[in-house]
Amino acid sequence: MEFLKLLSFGASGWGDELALGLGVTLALSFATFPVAVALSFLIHWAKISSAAPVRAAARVYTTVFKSLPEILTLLILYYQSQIAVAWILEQFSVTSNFSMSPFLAGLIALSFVISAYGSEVVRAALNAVGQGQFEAARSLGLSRFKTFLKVILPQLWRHAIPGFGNLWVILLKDTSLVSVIALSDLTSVAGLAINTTRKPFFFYLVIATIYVALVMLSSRAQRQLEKRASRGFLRMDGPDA
Amino acid sequence: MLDLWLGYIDLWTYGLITTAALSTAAIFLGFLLALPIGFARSKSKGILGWLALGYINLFRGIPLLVLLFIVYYGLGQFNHELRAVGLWWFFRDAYYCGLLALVLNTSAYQAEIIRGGLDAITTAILETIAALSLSRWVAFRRVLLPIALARTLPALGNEFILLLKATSLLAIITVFDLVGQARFIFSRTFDLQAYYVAALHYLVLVLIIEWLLRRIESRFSWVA
Amino acid sequence: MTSLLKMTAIAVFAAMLQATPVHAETLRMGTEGAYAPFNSVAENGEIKGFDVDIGNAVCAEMQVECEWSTHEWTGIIPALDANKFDVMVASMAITKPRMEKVNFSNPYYFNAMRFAARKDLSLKEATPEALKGMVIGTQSGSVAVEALKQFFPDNQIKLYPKLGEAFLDMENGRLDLVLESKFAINDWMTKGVDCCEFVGEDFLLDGTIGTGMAFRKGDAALRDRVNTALDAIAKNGKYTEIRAKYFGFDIMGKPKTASELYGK
Repeated sequence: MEFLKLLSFGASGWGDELALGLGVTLALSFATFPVAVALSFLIHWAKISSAAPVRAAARVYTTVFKSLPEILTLLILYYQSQIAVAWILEQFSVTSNFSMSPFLAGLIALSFVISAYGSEVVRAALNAVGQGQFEAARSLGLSRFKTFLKVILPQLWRHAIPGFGNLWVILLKDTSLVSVIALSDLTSVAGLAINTTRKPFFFYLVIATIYVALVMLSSRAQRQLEKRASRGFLRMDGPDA
Repeated sequence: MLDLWLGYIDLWTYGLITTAALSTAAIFLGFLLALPIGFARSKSKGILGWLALGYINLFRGIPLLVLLFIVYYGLGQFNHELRAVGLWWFFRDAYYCGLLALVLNTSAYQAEIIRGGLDAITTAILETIAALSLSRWVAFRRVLLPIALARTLPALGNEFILLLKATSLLAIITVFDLVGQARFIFSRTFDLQAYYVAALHYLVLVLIIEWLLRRIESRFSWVA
Repeated sequence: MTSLLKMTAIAVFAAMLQATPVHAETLRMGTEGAYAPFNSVAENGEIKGFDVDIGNAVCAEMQVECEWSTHEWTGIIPALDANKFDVMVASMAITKPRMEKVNFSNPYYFNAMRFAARKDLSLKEATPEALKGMVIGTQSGSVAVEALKQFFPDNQIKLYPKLGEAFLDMENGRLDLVLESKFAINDWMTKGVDCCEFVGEDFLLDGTIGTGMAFRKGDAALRDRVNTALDAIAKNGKYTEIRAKYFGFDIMGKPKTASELYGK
């Protein structure tokens, strides 16, 4: 009973704060993921670019963001981004009181990290689609853009879902690190609740349960998407495809 | 940046050793724990298989930071009970608690890798071994182990790098690893470059590990 | 799915808004939010405490809006430098090394440190000899770290990102003592915690000139305006009214310094 009261909504319980924290966690994940996926494609294209400096830059990007602990990337970006943004604004002679919010810093840092891994998902998926599709589309006289949009992307989807699904789960869990730079996500709300209630085991267990539930929901959604994406292939490859 | 490194070289060295020791210990202990779980996952369709799956889902679902807090502050709440059963010496220490959380986390991932390696050994291979009437030892050393290693080594190598990075979270429960030292130096100097120095350490560490892994993997490339 | 996308869009938009320039008559106040009774976050998500009340009184005196945000303690000076907020009201002790990084207001109280020890140790005093071999905890980046390094160099010292975490480790017996603000320790002891007791006298780190609000180096004008407002609320009784709400005694008295107490 006492525990239920701790989780109640309203002035005396932590239920509503935890719900808000969950909202922040979800908002950050949902906002970061599309950015990370788009960046993954860009990084992949940079890696196979014909310009050597672009290729080198893309390789440095992936090496750095795959080597640094996420927490360092986050801390550095949060405190350092200010200087970079101020400099850019100065170039356009804009004077503004701009301040990088923890949300935005988290979004940028996490999309850098996720896209470093995501570019490899894109590469593998493109390989699976096969060079022949490019050549066929080219011989039909489609532009590069149209080839990608109308021919490659619909097929790519099927091969990229498992990889991006994994990254989504990693992202969901990595948002907990943003609590270190003062964003009120689920993990940091639990910390606040413990400060007042002195019940660390209970509150950390509660949020662990929430994270596990989110991850399991995600894998269920991923299986649905995979099934949907491979509709046309079921008959061809048998039930395992 | 150089003066920030040389000026605190003792701290950085200590942090580097802590990071390396904790992640190495965690990968090996995690492997030992993952072996039976991976086996159960691959070979058992019954209750053991379900338990293994539950374990994997549970510890892959909890963010490591939250798992650390549960083990360190959460279980710390039960210090009287832990004292009574003679386990407090273990849970009192932040290093052991951190190591336990790392091992629980990595064993869930490694179990899936091991399952992949076991699944690579198909009935066809086993029948071939029987047909050639190879002795158990020769079959294990010359056939089964190379196939399993070729299949799992790249993934285990990746897991080691992820674990090395994950160790950085232990700084939050008072362990002075590389990030812990960086945070300490940062709190005294307010100099962001402390984080850059830590970042360089990780970059070099990861590059060295990747180079070593490539060398080891090339020895097994004939299998794959 | 669409409503989820919409929610996300709104959340992102809100986050961006937070990053846009603020109105001239709004003062952005930064604090830690984990240092009761001075600043903490309540069950309803509100930031409250002595620091917050004093900050709000200063804003009222200056006829501006206060807008509060919380920041991690070890990164709070860089956060001020990075323009995340304009005035830091986080019970920061005014010390020489910090004065090189930020401007401080006049002190608005004196925050003395004191040891708290586990009761079962039955300590009578807090001298280096009496504390031999004991594990002492405190918050990383606090003045207590410097005091411990100077006067208790042989003890094992554990540093926590948040003070509340050091208190948790006192409660479960991983720490023997904690050295921190006696007010913060007192606040924790009144939350139904029965493990620990004060030991030894309170003291101030040498060279500390009380607790002040902090400003960016370039913001001297803002500091002067806040100082004027602080003077005004001291004169019109507002300060005493707020102080009495939290403490039944004067908190402007200057305690002994560490070297007076430990003679080095």
